[in-house]
Amino acid sequence: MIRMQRDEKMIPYLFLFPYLFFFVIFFIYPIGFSFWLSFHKFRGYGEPVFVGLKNFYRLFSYSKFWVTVGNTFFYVIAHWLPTIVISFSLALAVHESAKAVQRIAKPLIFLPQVIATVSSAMIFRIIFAKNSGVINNLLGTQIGFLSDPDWMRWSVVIMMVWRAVGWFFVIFLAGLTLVSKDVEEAAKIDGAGFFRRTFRITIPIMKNIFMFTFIMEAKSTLMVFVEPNILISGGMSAPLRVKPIASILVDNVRNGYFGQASAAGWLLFLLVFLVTIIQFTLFRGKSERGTNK
Amino acid sequence: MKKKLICFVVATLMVATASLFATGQSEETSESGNKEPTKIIWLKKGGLGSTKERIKILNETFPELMTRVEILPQSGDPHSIANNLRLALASGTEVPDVIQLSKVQLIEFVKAGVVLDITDKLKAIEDLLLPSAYDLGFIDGRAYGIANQVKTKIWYYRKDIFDEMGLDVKDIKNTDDFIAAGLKIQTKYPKANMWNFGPSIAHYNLHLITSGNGARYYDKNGEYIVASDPGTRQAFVDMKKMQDAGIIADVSDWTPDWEQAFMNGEIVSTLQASWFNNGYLSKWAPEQAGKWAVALWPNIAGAAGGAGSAQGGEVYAIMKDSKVADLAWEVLVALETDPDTAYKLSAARGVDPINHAAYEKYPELLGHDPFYENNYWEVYFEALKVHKELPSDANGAKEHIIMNEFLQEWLFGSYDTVDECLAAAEAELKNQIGNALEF
Repeated sequence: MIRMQRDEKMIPYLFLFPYLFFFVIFFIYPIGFSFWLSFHKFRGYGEPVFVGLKNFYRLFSYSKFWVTVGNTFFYVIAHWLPTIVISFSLALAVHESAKAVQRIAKPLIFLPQVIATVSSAMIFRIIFAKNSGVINNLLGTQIGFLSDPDWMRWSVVIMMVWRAVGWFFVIFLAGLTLVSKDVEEAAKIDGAGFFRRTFRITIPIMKNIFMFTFIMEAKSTLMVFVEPNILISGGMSAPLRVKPIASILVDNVRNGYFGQASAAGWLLFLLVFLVTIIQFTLFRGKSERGTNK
Repeated sequence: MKKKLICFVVATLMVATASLFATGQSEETSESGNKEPTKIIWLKKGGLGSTKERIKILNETFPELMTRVEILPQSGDPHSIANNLRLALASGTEVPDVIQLSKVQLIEFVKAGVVLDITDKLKAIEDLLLPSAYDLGFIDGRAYGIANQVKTKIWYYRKDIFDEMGLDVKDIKNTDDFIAAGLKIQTKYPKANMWNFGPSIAHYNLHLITSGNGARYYDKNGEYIVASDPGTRQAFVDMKKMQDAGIIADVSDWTPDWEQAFMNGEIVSTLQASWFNNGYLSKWAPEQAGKWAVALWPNIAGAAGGAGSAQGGEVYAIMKDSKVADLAWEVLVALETDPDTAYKLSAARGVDPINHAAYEKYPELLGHDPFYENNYWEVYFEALKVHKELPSDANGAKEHIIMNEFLQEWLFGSYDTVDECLAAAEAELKNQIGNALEF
């Protein structure tokens, strides 16, 4: 009897085996190999040479590394608020609108997410061009969106917001279904206006949705690469003023410094991990304080 | 027990099926390879169309050879092609037999010992090639490649505007003259510029200058010396001087604004290389046909007489472990030394032939391009005589990236003095690479 029960416990694992097999081959093994590689000098051929922490030291002492860290955090912070505000506002508006409007609005708002990032970046290069760009032609100006140091990073942020709004919109729209109509009606009856209901009822109920979006967006923004590189420099190495951390990884891969590229990848992973932990702690901290009340 | 067995069998079958599917394709290829003409894997820059055009032309000019050969084209963009090769070498699968790289990129693989030494082969056809094309294949006294394109420096300028302003390129001898000419043009055309840098300065601009003025980034022991190298210093100084004079358009290469700048007269001169003669101007500004002319570069930053090149040029090389090296060489010789092949390739792809015979048999190759007021070929062959390369070793590609970053920052004004900038660049090179000769 006991043996039969044990046999039955094995069955789920047998079904999981094919997935686990590929998971180990295509995920765990590459992760382990890249970690091992980060302590070696290897150009893709010949024998890897053990260099200890030299790759990490080279990254930390790379004068441009901290500039790229600053650029990356700029992108995270600068694009976060506009994205959240615009997408949440759109979600609220669409949620309240008629079905016919929703049918048109939802795919339109989500459309930027469907367009490949590289294609979007190339289109925005034309939109932002100084002499021949759409914006400058409409305004009759010659603003160097892609060449003026004061504008370059903001151009990247604008494009990132444009792309991200659709994804957040869909998440928030789904999250709004968590807010019970009865609660809203009760609040209306009590005299709560739109903003009060939104900030005191809707947003607190959707707190886990917000946490999810913050964490996912921070993670993907910390790994940004395409927008700054394609938008500003058309695929060539981006100028330092807009370069994100991921560019260091890609530059090292392109030039065959795989050990250093692996080290950059692991540093990036640690950064994402730390930011995620901080976000979890902040959100959990607030939630616990809320429950303790 | 039966259930457990069935489950295990199902799971194993799924894994086995997936694995077979993953390997099935390569088995088919190797199986068919034994019975078909010898396959040569050919990794070339640009799209597949470029290699296919060459195959088509070879089929017409060397039908017998092409019955024995099947070229399997692979392609890569200029930035990633070296990496495609590294990945192929690392995985050991689909390693190309023939590769096309810039001279700077090739050096890394030569130092790694993965490229075939073809010194004797190349010497046997020396007389067929243009001198600079022959020299391009040599690294440290041994030949590892045959030239595909020799990239010389060419100055393209609006002759109509220069004539209108009473400017003769023969009188523009150095950076100061270049700046003075630009300022004079701006008295009538305030928005006109003599060159462009932009926020993403093209990586080849610095190399165009330093390849011709005797600059070196490292000494014979591989120690980086950019802070004290006069050629590098002069390049940085002169480029900043030109920018500060206001004769450089704030437009980066390969942007919509760059094309527009030629169209609307914002760029009336550009210091480029021979590859720029690939129909770009005629496509962007066809109405300016006959208004442009070409000349040797003035002496910018000490690069006298237009000396230098754009990373040397493009080279074909054969991988050391290729099992079809002799046949691959036969194809390369056909491609690069046959006049008929070179002529057809020039017509189809605008590739400048590197063999004497093509120009002798088809003098129309040297014919006047009506887009330019003067004869492009006269200038090209003059520039070939002063073709020079920047000394480069296994880490050349990364050196260029680092130096270009510091050039960008210098032009942006991030450093008060050029010495400060070059000292930082030298420190960075030492930190990131260590020794230039270290592989």
